[in-house]
Amino acid sequence: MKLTEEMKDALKPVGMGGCVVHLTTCNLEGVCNTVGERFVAHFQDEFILIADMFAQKTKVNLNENPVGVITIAHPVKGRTWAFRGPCTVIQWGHPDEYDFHGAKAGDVLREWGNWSEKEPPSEVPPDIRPPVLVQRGVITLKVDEIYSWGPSEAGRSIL
Amino acid sequence: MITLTPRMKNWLEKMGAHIGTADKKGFPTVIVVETAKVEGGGTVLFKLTAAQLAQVRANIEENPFVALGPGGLACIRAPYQYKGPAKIKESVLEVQVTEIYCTKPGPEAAARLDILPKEDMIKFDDTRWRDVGPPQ
Amino acid sequence: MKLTAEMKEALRIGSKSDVYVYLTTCSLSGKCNTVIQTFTDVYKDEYIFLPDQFAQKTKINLNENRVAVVTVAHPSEGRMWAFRGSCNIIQWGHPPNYSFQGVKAGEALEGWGEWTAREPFETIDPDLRAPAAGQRGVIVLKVEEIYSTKPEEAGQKAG
Repeated sequence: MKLTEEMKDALKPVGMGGCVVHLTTCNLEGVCNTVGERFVAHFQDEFILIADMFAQKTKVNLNENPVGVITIAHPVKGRTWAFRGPCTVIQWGHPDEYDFHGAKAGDVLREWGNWSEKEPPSEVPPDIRPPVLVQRGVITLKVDEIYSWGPSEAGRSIL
Repeated sequence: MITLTPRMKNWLEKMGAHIGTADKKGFPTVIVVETAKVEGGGTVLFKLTAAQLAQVRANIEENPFVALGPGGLACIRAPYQYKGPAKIKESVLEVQVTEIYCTKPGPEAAARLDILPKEDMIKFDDTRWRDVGPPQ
Repeated sequence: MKLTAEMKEALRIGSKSDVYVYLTTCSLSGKCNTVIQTFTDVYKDEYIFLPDQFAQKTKINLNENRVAVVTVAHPSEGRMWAFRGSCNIIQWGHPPNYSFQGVKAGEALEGWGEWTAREPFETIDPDLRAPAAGQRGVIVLKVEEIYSTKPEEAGQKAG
C-alpha cells in the first residue's frame, strides 16, 4: 500500500519536520512491546524503516512473529496514523539480494545501514541523546494497512 | 504490587499512551488514548471511545496482556514502557502494571525497573530527569 | 573466586588453547537462554569478559536477573567447568566510574569495548564469522562458584 506525500514527510526525524513514532511488536503468544523510535524514514513507496540501535524485545519478537504497527507519537499535528504490516530486521550480513516483500537488503543497508552518519541526532537535546550509536541493522515494515488511531474514528481505514 | 513514581504518573496522566494489544496468535492492534488516570499506585485507567472499544475488545478478552508506550512528548521525555494485564469495565480499560522498562536510548535501554525497591525506582527517575511532569 | 592457570589459559585472548563457551542466563521466571560465545577473556583472575555483539535474550534476561553461567563448549576435554556468578553488561554510555562487582566501566570499555581491535575477526574461521561486529558493550561475569560438568561428578566444586 502506497504512502502519501504527507505521510512520507512525517516519517523522518523531528528535526527535519517529521516525528517520533512508536513501534509495537508482539511475541507469538501476543505479549506486546511498544517503544519510541527517532530514526525513522520511508523507503520507496510502501516501506517504513527504523534503525536497529537498541532493539531487544522488538528483535526477539520479530524473530518469531514478523509483524509490526507504527503509530505517530510526537508531534501528532493531526497525523493520527497507524501503519501495520509484515516487519523484520534487515541486518548487516544479509546478502544484498535478500528480499523482504520487495525491499532488497543491499539497497536498504547501503542507504540506511549507517543512519547516525546520514542523519546525526543533532536536534536531540543532550540529556536524551544516546551516548554511542551502534547500529546492527534496519527494521523494515512493509505497509499493508493504514488505519486511524483518532479516538473517535479509531480503526477506520485510511486510503 | 508496583507503584509508579510521581513523575511517571504525571506524564502518563497528562499524555496518555499508545496501547499495544494483540490476539492470541500474535497479531497486534494499537490504539492511542491521549490521557489517563493512575489509581492505587499501579493501575492505569484509560477512557475508551466506542470505536476504540470495538477495535480492541476481542483482543483484551482473549489476551489481556498489553504494553503502554507513553504518548506525545512523553515518548521521549518519559521513556518508560509499562506492561501488564488489562480488563475492560464498561468503557474504561484498566491496566494493572506488572512490569516497567526503561526505553531511553543508551546503556539503560530495556532495563527492567520494577525489580528495584520502590525508593530506588524513584531515585532512578529523579536522577535522570529534572522535571516532575510535562510542561504546563 | 580466582580462576586457575589452566582455566585462564583456556579463556584468555590469544591463547593457543582457546575455547568456545556457552553463556546461560535466565528470565526472572526461570526461562533459560543458552548461547554460544566465540570470544572470551579473563580480567583480574576472577572475571570473565565476553563482547556483547549480538545479545538479545541474554540482555533481556540480564536486565531483570543478574546471574549467569559460563560452560566450556569446545574443546571441552579436560575443561569440564561451569563458572557461575553475578553478571551484567557494561555498555557504551555508562559513565567511566560506573562499577559492577568491582569492574569499572571506563576500564572495561577502553580495554574490551572494541573487541575486534584486540582479537581480529580473522582469527575466526570465515564460515563461522559474523559479517559485522555491532558491539554495544562488554558482558562481565564475576566468578563466584566453579563446578564440574563431568557427568559423573556434575555439580562438584572445581578449581
